[in-house]
Amino acid sequence: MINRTLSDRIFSAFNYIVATLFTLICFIPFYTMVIASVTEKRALIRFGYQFWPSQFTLEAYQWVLRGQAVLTGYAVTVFVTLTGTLLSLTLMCALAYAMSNKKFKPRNPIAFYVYFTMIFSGGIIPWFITMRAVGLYDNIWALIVPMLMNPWWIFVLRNYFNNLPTEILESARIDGASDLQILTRIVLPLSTPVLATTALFVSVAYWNDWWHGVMLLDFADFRPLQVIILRIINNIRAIREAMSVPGSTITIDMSQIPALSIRMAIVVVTIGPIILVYPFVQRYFIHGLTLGAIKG
Amino acid sequence: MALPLKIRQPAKRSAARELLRNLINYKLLLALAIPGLLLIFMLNYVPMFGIVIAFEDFRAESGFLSPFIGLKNFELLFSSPVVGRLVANTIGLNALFITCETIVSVSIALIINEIGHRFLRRMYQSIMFLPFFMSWAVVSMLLFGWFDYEVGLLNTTLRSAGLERISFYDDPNIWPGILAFLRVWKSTGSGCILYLAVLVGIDPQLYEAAAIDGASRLQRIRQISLPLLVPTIILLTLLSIGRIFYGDYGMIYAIIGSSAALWPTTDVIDTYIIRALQSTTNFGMSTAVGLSQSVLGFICVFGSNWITKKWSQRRGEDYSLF
Amino acid sequence: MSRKITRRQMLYVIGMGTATGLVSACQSATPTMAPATQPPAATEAAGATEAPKATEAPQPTEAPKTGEPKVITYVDSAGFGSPPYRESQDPIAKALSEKMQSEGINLEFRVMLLDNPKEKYPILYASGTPFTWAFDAPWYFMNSLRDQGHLRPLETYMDQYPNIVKAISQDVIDFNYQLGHLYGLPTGFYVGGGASGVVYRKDLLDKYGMPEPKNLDDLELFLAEVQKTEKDMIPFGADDTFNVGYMSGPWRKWLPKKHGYNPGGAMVGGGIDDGLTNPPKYLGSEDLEGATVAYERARDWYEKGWVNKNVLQLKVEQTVEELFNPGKCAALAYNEAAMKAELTIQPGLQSFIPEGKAAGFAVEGPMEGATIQFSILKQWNFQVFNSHMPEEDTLAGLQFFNWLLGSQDNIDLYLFGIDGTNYKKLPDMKYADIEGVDGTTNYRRRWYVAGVPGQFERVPEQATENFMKTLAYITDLNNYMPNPLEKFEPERKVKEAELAQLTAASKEFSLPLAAGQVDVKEGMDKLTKALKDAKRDDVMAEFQTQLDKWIGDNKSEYEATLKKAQTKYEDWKNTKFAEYIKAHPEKAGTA
Repeated sequence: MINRTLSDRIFSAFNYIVATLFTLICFIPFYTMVIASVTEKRALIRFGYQFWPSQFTLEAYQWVLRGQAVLTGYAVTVFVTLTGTLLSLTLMCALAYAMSNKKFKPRNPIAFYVYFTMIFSGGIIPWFITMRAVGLYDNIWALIVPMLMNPWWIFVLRNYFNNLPTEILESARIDGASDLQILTRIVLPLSTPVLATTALFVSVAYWNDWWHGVMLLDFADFRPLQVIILRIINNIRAIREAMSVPGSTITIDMSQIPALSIRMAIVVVTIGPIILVYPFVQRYFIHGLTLGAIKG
Repeated sequence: MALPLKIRQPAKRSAARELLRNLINYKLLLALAIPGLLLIFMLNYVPMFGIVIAFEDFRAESGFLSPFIGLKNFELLFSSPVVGRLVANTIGLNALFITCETIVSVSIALIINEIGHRFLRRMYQSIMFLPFFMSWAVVSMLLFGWFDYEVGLLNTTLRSAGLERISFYDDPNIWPGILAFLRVWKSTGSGCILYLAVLVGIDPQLYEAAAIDGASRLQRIRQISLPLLVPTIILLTLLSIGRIFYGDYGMIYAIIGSSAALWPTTDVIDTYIIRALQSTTNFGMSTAVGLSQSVLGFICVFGSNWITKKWSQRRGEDYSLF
Repeated sequence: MSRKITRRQMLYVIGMGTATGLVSACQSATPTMAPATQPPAATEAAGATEAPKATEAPQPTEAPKTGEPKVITYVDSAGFGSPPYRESQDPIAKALSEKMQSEGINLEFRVMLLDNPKEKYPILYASGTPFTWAFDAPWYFMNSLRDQGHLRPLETYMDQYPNIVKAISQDVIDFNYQLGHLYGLPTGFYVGGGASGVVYRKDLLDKYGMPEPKNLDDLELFLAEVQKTEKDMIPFGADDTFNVGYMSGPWRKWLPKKHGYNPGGAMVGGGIDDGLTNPPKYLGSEDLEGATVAYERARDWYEKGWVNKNVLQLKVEQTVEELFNPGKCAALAYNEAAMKAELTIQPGLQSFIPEGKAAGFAVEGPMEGATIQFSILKQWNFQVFNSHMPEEDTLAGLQFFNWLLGSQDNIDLYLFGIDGTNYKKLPDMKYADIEGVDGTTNYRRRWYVAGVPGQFERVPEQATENFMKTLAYITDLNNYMPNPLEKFEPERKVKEAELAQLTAASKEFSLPLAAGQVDVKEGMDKLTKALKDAKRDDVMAEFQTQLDKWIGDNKSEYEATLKKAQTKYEDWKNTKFAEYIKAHPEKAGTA
């Protein structure tokens, strides 16, 4: 920046202070959670959440990661996330681009058609019946296809495409570029930040999805990671419930199960891979390719 | 102020060639749109036949062709003695959430965008994203761990210091604020990414030109960045308004749960309905409630979309959804 | 939606049951066996393959014994104590199928595991997903699934399956008709509610040199002592289910004189005032005898500082046991406290406090003679069959149960898995866990959700004398009065929306009362107003009409049972209760 006036300096300091404070507010609970996930179960109950584990243990992680199922779960989830994100982004970009083209007459009815599904749904039974009828049941596509089209991101993409400077697109058109060429050569490169953002959120949605695994897989012999982990929670809860039910003679010692820290460990285990991938994606929306770069 | 959007007149060409070109382009656009539209039809529109059960007495033997009972299923919500409170809480909380989230997300995006230090900028942004991944169940456990009257860190500290403990879970009036804070805390990191994506796409020449004109950084934000964020802000708000009658069940159930003392300000349509129908499985009633929430939300979004259209068209833009 | 509700709901219903004396009986029923007595002889397995009596329904045993076995699918709503893992369940399913086929029954048993049963289970019916049977219950989804026609009535098939009838008993079957049909196989065992009780720190009690508490007045002395002596301890820990309001029974001068009953658990915010009076009357909960006793006690203890203030915030992984185990509270309410204190709670306590000892007692004190209750023959848990499947599918499922209930070996395999791998079979209907086997993934099915009457489930070897004594008491019909109204099942479909609104209103205002957080008078007024606003009185009038009609239709049976119940009550009053009053003169003149 050229001239740094006093007010700019104050403004800058203010920015750093606010950002630091807010970051701390976001960090402390997360940190507490990570610490809780490695704290011995009895210490956790006795002393509550601490800033340093009074008794360090990885038992919660051993619980979450035990068995072969977790490894296959990771494989299934990675496949679903990669395939799903790629397909979803392709289909949504194509539709959003068509919707953003001002010459495209049916763009408003289509926008309405897409938006309508965000508010109205038929309910869970007809949805389940439809999924079974079209074969999205007990196979890997049941985890991918139902989440391909997300109206929210279609609109975000359309909006971004809408707001690209028309002059660039027009000049390309005058140079004889087709719509497809404009899309692949100009629109998409210019939209890297929003594409990266969409890809990030779509892949996180696939990664975190347990609902479709739970609803649409019954006898298939694979499960995504989230379902496997859900079962661990269900199992512990089931034992606890069964214990206090009349007529129960459960002899399992619940205090041997790190129920509290398992919840925390699960968050760490599931977001671990995302945290690893995140910095690579981040550069696209933190230092995205800018207009200037294209123009230059 | 918006980007200078002067649409140049296309060079004159033969009318026939122009038509052909348009047709080809149009076909291409249709080809791009159709796979997605078909998928949406299959995944979202086909199941909508199920809405009929909102007006039926659902019976196993006749399924979706069960006897028609008019609006009887709607009584559960609309004849409830607390329907006023539920609607007020649902809309009130959602409006509060939308407002707070938008303001904070936009501000944080602008602040991060102003931070020059590359490493810090990335770090801030990454850390703010973390709460997004924490489930409400975990958030509720941490909240309990700090604010609980008996075992919460805050109150045990107060007690050991010989001070009066604070009973957070007794005062319904502070909870809309706490819930809004939690929503902001959880969603800002992810919400500001969208705004950042817009901000990093802005031509730096615009800033440089303004700087040369002597605009301070604050002025540059007001005059360049903020106007460019307006379409996105409006879009995201419009998208949220459609679901304004749907309460955030996942959060409210996890955080408030059985604390009945807090229900006067936090009980929303979804928590009430699930509580009322906890051991029945009347799909007619639950579909009727969902349909009511959708229709009301739809009316709201239709209205606000129309206002947006009129308002933005006066400025020569179109920020509306459809 | 959280599965917590499931358990809460179940406990709530049972808690309410004991609180208002919601228990029932019939003199004509044969006493259900206590465990360790009369397991069906293994030789009876042969009975499973005998041709059932010929009727118009197809004969299940005529199914071809060669060729592909017929697949029967059981929907396991994970969440009731069986591990939700294929690895745990498949070997047992295979073993069951093989045993069945080797005994000439050509069926293949298959389990469908649900990871979110609360949502998915009801959808299975409406979407036409094929399965044979599932666990269900009136406190779960059974009533509304029944009203919508998803459940197959079974009464016409029962006489073809002698082993089922023999195991469950004809009397239990007779008492579980709903609206004229038998909609599932009832799972019976207990005939009386011994549910509400208290678990307390025995080691502290011994330290103070106090005698073992027998009722809530004794307990108060203990709680006061804890408050005085242990500075950092809450005397009584409570959560949204196991709280002060959960317990019923003698407290101060109060001994119940009436025997309230809520047929089918259908009414919300009211019930029948006294099942021993004729004609019986529905009353609002504020007018029921003893309605506010539990609330007054909750308030009293709360104001004395004996109860934790975060009663309603304890949930998910933070239940009241998290207060008890690390020694933050000295007592808590629990169901079957006398049985469970040593069996299930003590290990948790000792993992924190090695010298800690947990003991429990049943507060209402029917065993001591302080009260008498109606017996319960109407069951809470059922195996229900999917009406969307062809009839032969249901028959195959029933054939499975007929085979299963025909021999103790089959039942052991179904409930405990493989002897030597999943459990160790011991004599006298006991079992032992195998050292080194992980209890959380080890195969186990609980009798109360598996369709096996409780007397056929083995008892853990560490079961104490106390446990066996309580079990024997609550499974013996002679200890209870027959309930003249038990066969009455209100039709709730006509008031479905009102009942749902009542449920919501009742929860909102009764939770703080049970927790002791609000003034009783004020809280009751609010509760009553909310219930009245939700048209409680309309619903009550409707149920009263149905009840009057039912009594008119079943006059002779009703009056005969009523007579028996009144006789039983007089007997009890003159013998057991007289003894109790002699031992507790301070309570005299109250019952």
